[in-house]
Amino acid sequence: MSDDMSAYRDVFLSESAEYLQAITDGLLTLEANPSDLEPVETIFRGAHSLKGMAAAMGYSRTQDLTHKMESLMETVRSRQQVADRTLIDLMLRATDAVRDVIAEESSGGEAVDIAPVAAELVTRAEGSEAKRAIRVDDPARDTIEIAGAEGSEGSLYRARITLEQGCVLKGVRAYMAIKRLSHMGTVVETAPGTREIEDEQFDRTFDVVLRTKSTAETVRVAALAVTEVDNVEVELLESAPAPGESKGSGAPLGQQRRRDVPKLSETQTVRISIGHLDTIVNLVGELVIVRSHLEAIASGAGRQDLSDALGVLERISAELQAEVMQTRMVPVGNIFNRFPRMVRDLAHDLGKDVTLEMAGLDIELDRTVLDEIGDPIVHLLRNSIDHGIEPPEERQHAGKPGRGRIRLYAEREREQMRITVEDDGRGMDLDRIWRKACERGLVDRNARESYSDCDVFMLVCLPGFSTMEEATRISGRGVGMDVVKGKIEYLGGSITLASKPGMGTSTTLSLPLTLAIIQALLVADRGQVYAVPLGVVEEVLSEDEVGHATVDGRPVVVLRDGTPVSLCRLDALCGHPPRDEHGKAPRDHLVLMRVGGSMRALAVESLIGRREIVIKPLSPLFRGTHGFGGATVLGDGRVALILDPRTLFLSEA
Amino acid sequence: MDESERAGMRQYVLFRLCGEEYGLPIERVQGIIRYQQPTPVPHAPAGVEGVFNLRGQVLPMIDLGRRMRGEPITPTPSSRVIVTEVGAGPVGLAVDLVHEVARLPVAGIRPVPPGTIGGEMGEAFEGVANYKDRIVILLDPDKTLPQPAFGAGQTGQEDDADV
Repeated sequence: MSDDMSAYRDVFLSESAEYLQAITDGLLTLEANPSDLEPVETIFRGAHSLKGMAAAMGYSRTQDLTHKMESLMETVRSRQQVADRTLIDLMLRATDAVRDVIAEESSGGEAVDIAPVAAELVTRAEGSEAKRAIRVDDPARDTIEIAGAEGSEGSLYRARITLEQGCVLKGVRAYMAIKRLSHMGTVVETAPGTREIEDEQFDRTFDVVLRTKSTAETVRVAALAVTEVDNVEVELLESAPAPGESKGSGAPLGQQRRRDVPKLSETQTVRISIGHLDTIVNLVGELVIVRSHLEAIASGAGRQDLSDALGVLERISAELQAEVMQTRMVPVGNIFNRFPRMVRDLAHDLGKDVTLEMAGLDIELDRTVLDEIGDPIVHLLRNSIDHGIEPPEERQHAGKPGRGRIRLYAEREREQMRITVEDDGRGMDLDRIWRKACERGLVDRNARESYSDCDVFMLVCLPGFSTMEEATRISGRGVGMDVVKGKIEYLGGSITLASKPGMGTSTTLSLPLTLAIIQALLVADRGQVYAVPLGVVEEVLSEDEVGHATVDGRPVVVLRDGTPVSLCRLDALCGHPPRDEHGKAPRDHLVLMRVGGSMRALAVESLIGRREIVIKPLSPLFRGTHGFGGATVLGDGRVALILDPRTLFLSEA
Repeated sequence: MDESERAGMRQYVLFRLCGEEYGLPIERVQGIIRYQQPTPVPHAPAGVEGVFNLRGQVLPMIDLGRRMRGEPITPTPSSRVIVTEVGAGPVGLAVDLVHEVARLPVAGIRPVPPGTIGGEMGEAFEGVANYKDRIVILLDPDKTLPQPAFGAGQTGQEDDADV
């Protein structure tokens, strides 16, 4: 494949993923309310665009499948049939098949068999053929309302109008179409502008943004009625507020996204590969390092003009760094968008009836952070569906609506981001959790008074609370909330749980906005510098503040209040032989860390101090190693490893 | 590149390890930098000495001496790190000396004489070639590396990440 072709392929792959997501979103919205046909346009257009792109790439199977999806959606769009559960299921399966076949065709494989699902699409589309006659007599169709012409009321649509190939008077036809639409409401904008359209400075397609009380279908039909108009696609940009509805509430949270569609003239963005961004971030980091190096030289040279210039350089590089970090910010919607489908499938499998509402999708988070939190959120959602939401009968018995509700929302609070998963299920059972924690030996049976309710909830985050035996196919699986908590803490965040019996559970993850940068304690041992994420550091002690003892032959330190804490030496964990036979040296410092609910003391040679560090991932070559979650480049250009407290202490076992 | 290949020539970066001469295809070489002491990574696979900083990127460094010859290179001012891209991403290969870029006729590349190289590293040799009365051992960079523990490049798929 030539370079040109592979560049197109990359664009195709990233764009097709977006279309597939739009189709999935549209299908789920449609399923929730089959009588509202707005999403059909999105789905139809998505399939149509994919078809065109696939044709351009020569991906014939993708083209074939998307064409059949388009045809089926056409029958829904023209009200020949209703999008019931089986149709949505079929379309979702077809979407999956398209995804698979694209992956395959772009890499040259031929194994995926699209024939069965393609056949189903055709059968389903043809099944409605017989009903077509009815449609012609549908009285509603002929009443092309000239209503809603006044002011700013109604919905905002974008009509993408394509003229016939070989249309001679393009400008005139376009003018007629725009004129016709303007009778239905207010034409807000056209792209290209009206002047360009009149001058015929467009190919065959132009866009009209229209505010009208009419439906999308009416707009489409009206524009299609103009001579030599070949095709019209209408997209809803903004729904009309329902009568009496107060703005901002009422509407399902998940649907509020649509209002964020920017105007045509505002979509001034470029696509840039993550690789380029990472390189820029690296280079800027390097620039900052060189700057501090220069400053060190300048301070010795005693030249005022040099120091002044360096002052300017510092300001510019700081701004540059902030700006570059900003480009890495990605809306949480980018990972949230796969959850509706997942929740739907999971709920169906488990015989639960659940709606997922999402909010705060436009809140941005550093890409690195975002990559890390997807799986913890999946775990929380699974927990809610599996353990939280009761089966419909049980809910009705308890006087609750049969359909459970899960809310997933992101909020920003100063430099923190909060992500909450909230369900209206059965809630967590304090007594059961306490009993189980006692059985597992995680708490002292007689110490119940010293635990607040909140403390008890947090016990489920202790390692060993959930066990393999209770693992279900969905959640559990022998690992549980302890892993979620560990991951969030490693990222410098925290987790809180709240629950009321019968009312539901809510779990909140608090995260720093830019996770690529964390606060760390730098320590040194055997000539190497290591970074300990500050989030896990409880306290730093010197050797003479603690006592030493052994428990079952293993060294422990005894804190002032008498608590024994398991002691590990950093050099031993790194595989160095001990320097003396007792495994301790008098001038060591102890870093007290909270690891998965228990305390560990880590003995290190010296402390360097607290720094902000940029996390760099370790190469996959180090997959087999443990104890280190990444690396960072220090001010002097050297590399320091970042300790991963979750796995660091594994090597002692 | 294309031109010389059409002419039956291929360019190689030649370097020395423990007194012998090796070559890597030039299109696989992203850069050559001065050797720097890597930061050791405990429990790393054999031959991976640690990590180093290449313009803000943290890359693994492989001691090619240890990988190919079983003895680590001795850092001197002429030691170099060759940066190459493999399946697991960019890596640095530490060598004793990089001395020239040579055009070698593809037809002159011969298989490694049987019996000279065995074991795991045998795979890494593309062949040998004569160059100015010397013998150059040609390497396939992908095979000079220890294999990562799991398939490289697969990231937290929903189903294999037990969170």
